Amino acid sequence: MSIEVEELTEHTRSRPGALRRFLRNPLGIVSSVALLLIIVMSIAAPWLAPLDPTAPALDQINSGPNPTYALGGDSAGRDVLSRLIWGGRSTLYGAAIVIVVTAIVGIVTGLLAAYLGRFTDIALSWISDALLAIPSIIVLIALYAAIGPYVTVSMVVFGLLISPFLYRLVRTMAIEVKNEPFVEAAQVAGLGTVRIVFRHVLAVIRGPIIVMLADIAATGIGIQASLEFLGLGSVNSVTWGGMVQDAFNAIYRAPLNVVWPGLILTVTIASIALIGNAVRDALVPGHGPSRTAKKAQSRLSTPATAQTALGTSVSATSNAGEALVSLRNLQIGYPTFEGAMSIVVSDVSLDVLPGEVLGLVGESGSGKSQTILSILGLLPAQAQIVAGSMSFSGSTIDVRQHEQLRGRSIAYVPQEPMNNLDPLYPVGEQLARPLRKVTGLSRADARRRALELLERVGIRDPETVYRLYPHQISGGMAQRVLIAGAISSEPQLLIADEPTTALDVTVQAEILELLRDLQRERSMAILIVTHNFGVVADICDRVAVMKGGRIVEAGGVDDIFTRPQHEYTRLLLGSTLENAETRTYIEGVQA
Amino acid sequence: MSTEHNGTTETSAYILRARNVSVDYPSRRAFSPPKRVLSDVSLDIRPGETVGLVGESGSGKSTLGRAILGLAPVAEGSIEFGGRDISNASARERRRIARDLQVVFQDPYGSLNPAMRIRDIILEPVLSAGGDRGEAQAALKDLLDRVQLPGDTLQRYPSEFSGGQRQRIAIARALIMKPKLIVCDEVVSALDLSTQARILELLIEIQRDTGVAYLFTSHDLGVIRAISHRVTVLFRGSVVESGDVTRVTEAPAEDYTRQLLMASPVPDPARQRVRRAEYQRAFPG
Amino acid sequence: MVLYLLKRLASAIVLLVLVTTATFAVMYSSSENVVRSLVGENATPEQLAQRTSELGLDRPLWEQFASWAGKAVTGDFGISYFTSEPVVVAVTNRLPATLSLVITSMIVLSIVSAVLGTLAAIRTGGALDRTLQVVTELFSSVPKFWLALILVIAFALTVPIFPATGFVPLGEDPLGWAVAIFLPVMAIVLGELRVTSMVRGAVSDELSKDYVRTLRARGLKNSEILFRNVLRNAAPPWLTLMSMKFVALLGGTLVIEKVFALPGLGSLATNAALSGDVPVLLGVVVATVLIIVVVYLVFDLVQSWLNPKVRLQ
Repeated sequence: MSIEVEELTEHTRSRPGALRRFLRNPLGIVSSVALLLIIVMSIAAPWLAPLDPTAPALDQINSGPNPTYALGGDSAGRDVLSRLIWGGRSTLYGAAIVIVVTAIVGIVTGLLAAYLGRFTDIALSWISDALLAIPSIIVLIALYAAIGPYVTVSMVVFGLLISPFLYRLVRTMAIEVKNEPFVEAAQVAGLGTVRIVFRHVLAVIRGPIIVMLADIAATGIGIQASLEFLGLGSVNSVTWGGMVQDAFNAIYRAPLNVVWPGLILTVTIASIALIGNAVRDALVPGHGPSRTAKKAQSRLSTPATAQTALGTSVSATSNAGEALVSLRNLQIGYPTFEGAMSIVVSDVSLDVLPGEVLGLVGESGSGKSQTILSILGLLPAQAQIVAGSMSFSGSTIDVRQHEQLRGRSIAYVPQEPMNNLDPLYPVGEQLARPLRKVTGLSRADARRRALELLERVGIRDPETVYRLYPHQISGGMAQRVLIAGAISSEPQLLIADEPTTALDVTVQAEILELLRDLQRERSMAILIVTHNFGVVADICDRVAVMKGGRIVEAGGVDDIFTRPQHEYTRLLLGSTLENAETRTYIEGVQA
Repeated sequence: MSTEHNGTTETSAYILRARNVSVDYPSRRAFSPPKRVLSDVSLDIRPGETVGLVGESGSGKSTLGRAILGLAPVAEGSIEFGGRDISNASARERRRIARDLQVVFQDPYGSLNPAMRIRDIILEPVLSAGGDRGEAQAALKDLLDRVQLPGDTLQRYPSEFSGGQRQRIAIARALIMKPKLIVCDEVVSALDLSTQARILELLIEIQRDTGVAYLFTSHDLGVIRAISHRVTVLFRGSVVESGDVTRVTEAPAEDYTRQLLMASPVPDPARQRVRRAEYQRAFPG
Repeated sequence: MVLYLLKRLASAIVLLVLVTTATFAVMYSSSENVVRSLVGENATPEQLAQRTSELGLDRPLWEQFASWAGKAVTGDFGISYFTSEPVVVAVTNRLPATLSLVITSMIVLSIVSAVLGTLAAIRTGGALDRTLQVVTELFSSVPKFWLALILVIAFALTVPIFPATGFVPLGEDPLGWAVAIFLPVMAIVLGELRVTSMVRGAVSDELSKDYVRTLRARGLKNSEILFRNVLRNAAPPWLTLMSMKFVALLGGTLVIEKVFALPGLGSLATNAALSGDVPVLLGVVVATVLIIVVVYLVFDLVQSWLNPKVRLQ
């Protein structure tokens, strides 16, 4: 069971807990310390401040730093340093209120919208949109006119006005998570909604919530300071924003006084924001719905790091004539974080002869997709061709050659048809435009050709389909459109990456039939990637089997099926279930 | 629609009886009538049996499983489980049912909460069904052995495992309450060929050892044939044909079943040539 | 699509009505405070009562609102308690300064974020990308009004390139206008640069989509695909973001006006709040919401035109 063991060696490291991850983050540590100091400073103000922050002194009006006043005096001759120390209380208090109010309102309403059905959702979302259209500063100014400078009320109102941001986040993510299979499994297990919300939903979305709360707190501090700067802040207590206002009035005489309160405001705001990010990063195993994992690959694909004990690479070259495409000892790698190179394709040599169909078979992580993308020159930017060479019709392919060949002599049919059409343009237009840009046809000619192609690939009503958008056609039809696009340039080589995997089986048969017809008609070579041996048997002349970035076996299609040489090929053939025995039910035998 | 053998049986020993089940999904546009995704489907499952449900996209095969699990509302018809009607059961009733009815889903990445450790994931059904946590904890090691996962799995997170391993974890979670029926919804469709075969073997072995029954959904007739005792074929929400697996897959009574069988290519060039010719004769254009 | 826009218009009107009603209720709920700030602390009860009935503040609240609203829809928002100037005149006098700032900031921010964000996305991890991340994070933590002050100290006081205060109407002297609003716009835009990283995210997400690769496989050039496909797809989230940012920009403008002594809605509102000039304050609130509603509708129009799924319904 060597392959089973291989699966596990990739995942032997266990992850450290969240707290330890947080402590390893330098920005997180620094900002936590900074915020902690500010909090301690504010609490210990009575003991820390050298002087009375409200005591004026005529001889210190707008003075610069001096022995008595470490940072100088403000426009009433009060000690700037002491005022800075005392000013934190108001700011931190306001921030705390905003966090509490927004958290409660935002999270509760978001969850309600996600769980209580369409009407609640529509009503709450409408209210949320309405609130977002109101600039909070003008409301807070109006509030001041009505009730005067009450920080608590102001920050509660601000919290309410800003909570729609959190509402939208919670609502969107809760709806997403609600539909994840692991939540449905919990429902099936009989878990009540409340328990599901706490145990699953909140656990998964807590990261983004924390980041947003940190951002909102930071914004709240800014707004509060703005109000104070406008002169609408508290008159009794010392506030940093008020200090800026004071300094502003005397800006020509003592510009330095503007700097200190703004600086400490900036540090406070920045630390809160950075702490939020660091907490989110530390919570990573639960960093959100697995959509990102799904986006990466539909099947698990791990780079082949270990040297597998599968023997040296076999080459799938051919001496039966001049090859159309030749790969020799190709090696493709991706740089890792630690600076090493992770090799995904290793020592691959193959030929595709003109007019032949070569199948590239393998499971996920075998490197088959990487190999064909390299022929097209469509590997991701980080990929590097570490070794080896490619040639087409005898001449070596370099970067510029890729651009000459793509869409002209070499064409591509992808796997998931719906993801490969731009949702914003009609399908006919997407088919026709490259004909104008690449082949140089006129608009009318391109359209005519596109209609012909649509008809050729079996679309019954080309005129109508031409105008349709991708969301209006089926997967099978979309794949036909993509095939039409691929053959439009009369390519010599068609590279197809699992072209039928995402389709229903009856549609698969039709598409395979289409590909076979086109191949015969145009004597086109096809390099087809697949994991399905039935497809191989149906359409291929030669086969190369890949595992772990290498070709482990290659040969004619009949040979591969009747006389497989390599144990991996035999394993794959044995897994096809083709000759599995059917089961018989014997009543009463089971427990 | 074939009348010879519908999905129902005469024996009194059955654990699930779905009768004339219809399911509607609300239309996306407001004020439009709902869409009927399952019409008048009947199906029985006997103890220790695997009933395969096969169909293409839009056939409603997953919907029937979801209706049984309480994830989709039953518009018409009834579903009896263990003698009781469970269609549109309440949450409290679901908790009781959960001891005997579990699920394994298709998507290995979405089936496990990424923020939870494996131990907590597997023990979750115990939590809600009010089972004995201590007893379940003790059984964990055996359960891991049964699904062929190493012992140190329990304290890890899902992100550390491959697709096949995650499905094994999901199977362990489904087994912990020793259920009578597990709904397997396309459980091998997202896995590699060799992993598929191994997971199917595992499921068959578990069935032999514990006597659990499966409702096994798939679009792949080959997979269905390998694991099912009886098969029901669905097309656009209605039953096309059902019966014993050998009979349906070797001598199908309906054209659509025949089409499904013949459309999927055989991994044997010579036989595939023959089948292709037959397919084109039978289903031109 | 027409139906969709009509729905949005109806929403906008309802919003306007609700905000106005709420503000009115809050402001006039305590008529005594209002009158007291007019007649002063030492007024006798008789003077208080007389002023109250003069202003019509002794009527029930709903009656006051109905009367105000009735006149408001005809364009009569009453007169200032202090200057006796019609509110409409006071507000419209202040519009040029505020609108100059907001609209210019909006345009500058849109262009800067779109260009820099796209460039950063094309070469993720590159020098521009990393510099941008650091710079935007830095500026986003700085309170806007303080940033404005620092800019004033640096570029108007220490090195007198720009004026520290004052507004020049566009009609009078375009160049002078541009110079006058340069620093304020800088202060506002620098503080909102975070938008750039969102653009970068949206564009880079789009670039990694399958259809981009397929278009390249058809032989289309990268620049072609970028402008015609990628940016067009990334535009909706960017537009949504910018329309929300407008509210933030407007808020920022109102505060920054004080720093540069610009005669805009912000200073009008602040003074009105400090002096208790309720009709004026109410007028500013209505004006603000109106501006936002109009801008939202414009963005909505563009969004729904760009999206075929909405356009076709």
